[in-house]
This record gives sequence, structure tokens and C-alpha cells, in this order.
Amino acid sequence: MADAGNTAATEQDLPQQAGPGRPPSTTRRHLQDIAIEMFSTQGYDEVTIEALAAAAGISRRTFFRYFSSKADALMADFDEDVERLRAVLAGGNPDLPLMDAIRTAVVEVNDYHADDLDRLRQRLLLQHSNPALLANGILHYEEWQAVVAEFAAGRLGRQPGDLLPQVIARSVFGAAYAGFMSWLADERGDLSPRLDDALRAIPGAFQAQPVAASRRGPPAGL
Amino acid sequence: MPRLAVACSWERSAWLNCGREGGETVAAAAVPVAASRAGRKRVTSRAELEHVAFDLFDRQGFERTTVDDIARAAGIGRRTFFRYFPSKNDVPWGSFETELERMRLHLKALPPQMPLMEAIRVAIVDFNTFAPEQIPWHRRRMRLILQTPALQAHSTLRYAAWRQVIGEFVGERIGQCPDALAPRTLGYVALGVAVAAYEQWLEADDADLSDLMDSAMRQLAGAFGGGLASADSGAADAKDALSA
Repeated sequence: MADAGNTAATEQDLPQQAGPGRPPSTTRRHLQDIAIEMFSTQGYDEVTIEALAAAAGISRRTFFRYFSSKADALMADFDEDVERLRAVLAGGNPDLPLMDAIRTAVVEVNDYHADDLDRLRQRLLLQHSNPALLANGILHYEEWQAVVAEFAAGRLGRQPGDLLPQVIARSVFGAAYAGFMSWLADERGDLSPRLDDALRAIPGAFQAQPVAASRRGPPAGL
Repeated sequence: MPRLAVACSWERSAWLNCGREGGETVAAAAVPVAASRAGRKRVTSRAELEHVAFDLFDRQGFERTTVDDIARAAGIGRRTFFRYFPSKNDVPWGSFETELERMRLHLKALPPQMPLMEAIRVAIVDFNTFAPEQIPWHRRRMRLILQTPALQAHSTLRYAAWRQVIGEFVGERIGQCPDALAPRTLGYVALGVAVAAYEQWLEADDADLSDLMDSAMRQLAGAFGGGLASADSGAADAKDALSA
């Protein structure tokens, strides 16, 4: 975790901008670290964009090259995940059945390492403690779901807005989010196996036998 | 159709009948001046208050509408407003809690041999079945809930309560705690599917909500390997598409 006192880098320390295009993700991540630290210690509503930018040694104007709002500064890792998900889905084995392709891509993209998991935990906690951050997070989640819907629609020969691609996108996101929340609740083990289990729980539920039936003893007469 | 009559009680919740309506009349009588100045009959039910509020939200936006605005337009006092709704954010949700309790009881009453996901489909379709005269209001309600950024954070509490009902049912059926991974996951998944159906419904003025909800749940079945009979059109449709 970056210490806010040590993050007052000068503007020269940051990677130089090479014209328009997507700014380097390292800078976005650096700003995200600062945002997590400042939002956590001072409260999201108390932190200004000026203060965030100053802590990173950049101007307010430069801040807006990386993020369009204060709340977006929290979503750098997530935005990167969305793009990775798009790339992994596009580059996957076309012979893999659709739902397996989506499940393995989601698990692969969420293969967080220890440092990343720490950031993830802090982001989720911040989102759940501030309505504005939560609402903004939901907008980013829409992007993630749009990526899944586009991929499913492409495979199915449908439009991303059709019911089936939307059902797939929203159910897969729901399962993944349940995996995140379940991991956040006990923080035991790695995140990605939890996501895999969550995604497998959906087909599992369609096979579920009522407990009453399985608990029944051996057939009478034995 | 008695089922419909019960379903639309979202508009006329049980707690309107436990003496609050009487209390409202007495309280409203204390502000006859404001009421007559507004030139309209003061509201005497929760549903009416909701309709007045929806009109204001449409005209001036949800965020710019205050509780005082709603109370004034309804010809009631601010305190009376709070007898009907704990906050402005609760207005679009109507009698959600009451309906949710009804869904919980419905799930409990379904035959235990009914497959898990079929039971969830049946309960969700029922939860989202409304009498024809309620449909225009329900469209406005759901548009507010799903498309008002300022309501998102508040709504997460209601969504959580809804998921909890599904999670408890799944947990009971498969012998796990409601917050174990599978029950929790099914709560999120069912909610996601319902939201997908709602988005389609809000896009198409002539679409039938119950049918869409039913199709969406059947497509989930088709997409994830099928626990419903293959004769089911939605599931078969999804299966065909997935194997293509």
C-alpha cells in the first residue's frame, strides 16, 4: 500500500504523455493508489480532485487526462479488467462452448495477486461505505456486462441487446459479484477459484436435488 | 384471477389497513388551508401519494423534487408524508417489503419436489405479475428505480433484501447457509436475470412483463445446461442457439 506521504511525486516522475490515446496504466494505477489511501483516511467526500492531483504531483488538468471524475480514480484496476476480459474472450479458443469460454475468461482475468487483492478489498469496502462511489461503480459494472453480452451475441448470431445475451451477461456478472462478496466476507484463499465455484453454482443449481430426497434413508425392506 | 389480485397489492399494502389511513385523515384535517389553496383534493392513500410523486418526478426530475414539494402537491403536511414513506427514496419502491414477504411465503409453499430453479422461476414470475391497470404505474416505478442514478445506492438495500429471500430458499433446498457461496450466487443471478427482463420490458411498450420474466428465466436454464424440460420454448431456444 502506497503511503500518502511518499506519493507526492513530481510531475516529471510520471510517465510522459505521448500525444492522445489511452494514458499509461501505471499512472492510472498510481493515482488509484493515492485515491484509495486518501478516500480511506479522509473520507471520499472530503477529498478534492485538487488534493488528489497535488498528492500525485500533477495538475487538476492532468488528472482529467486519466480519469473523468474523482470517483473514477477508484476504478483503474477494474477498467483494466474490463479490457482484459474483452481481449481474453476475443483471443479464446473458438471451439470452447460459449458458457465455458466465458467462465474461464472471467476466472483468468480475475487472477489477482496479493497486492492487487489488497487494493480490491479496499475498493469494495470504500464502495460499500459511500453511495456516490457505489453508484459510480455500478456504471463501470455495466461496461463489464456489455463486454460479455457482445461476446455472447457474437457467438449466438444475435444483437448484444437481445434477451439471451443480456441474461447471460447479467447472470455471469451476478455470479462473479457473488464470488467477490463471498471472498470479501471471509478473505480465505484466492479469489479466482471462488469465482470459478460461483460460476459453476449456476449449472449446479439446475441439477440440484431436494435435500429431503437425498437425506432419505435407505429404501425400506433392506 | 385471484393471483393477480394479490400481486397488485404492491399498490395497496397491508399496512395501509392497520389504522394509518384513519390517522392520515385526522392529521390532514389540520392543514385544510394548504389543501384548499392547492385547489386539489388531498390524497388519502399511499397509492395516491405515490402517483402525485411520480408526476412530480416526471415533471421536475427525481433529484430536484423535495419531500415538501410532494407533500404540497398532495395537499398534506410533511409529517403526514412520512407516515406513508420513510423517505423520498422509498416512494418508487411502493410496498416492496410487503410483496417480498409474500414471495418468501410463496416459495415456502411450493411443492418440495418442484426443481429448485423452476420454483425460483415460478416465484419470480408471480412476483412480477400485475393487474393491467397497474402496469402503467409499474412502468413508471421501474423506470425510476432502474434509471435514476441518485436512487442506485438506496436501491442496493432493496436488492439485497430480494436476493436474501432467494438465497434463503436455495439454502434451505440444498442444505446450506443462505450466505454460503451457492445460495448467495443464485440470489445475484436471479436478480440479474430479472433486471435483464425489466430492461427489455422498458424498451418495448407492448411487451408483457410476466412473459418476459418467464422467458428470461427459461433462457437462463437453456444457457446453463438445462434443468427445465427441453420442450420449454425459452430453454429450447437458448439451447439451440448455444449449440449452433
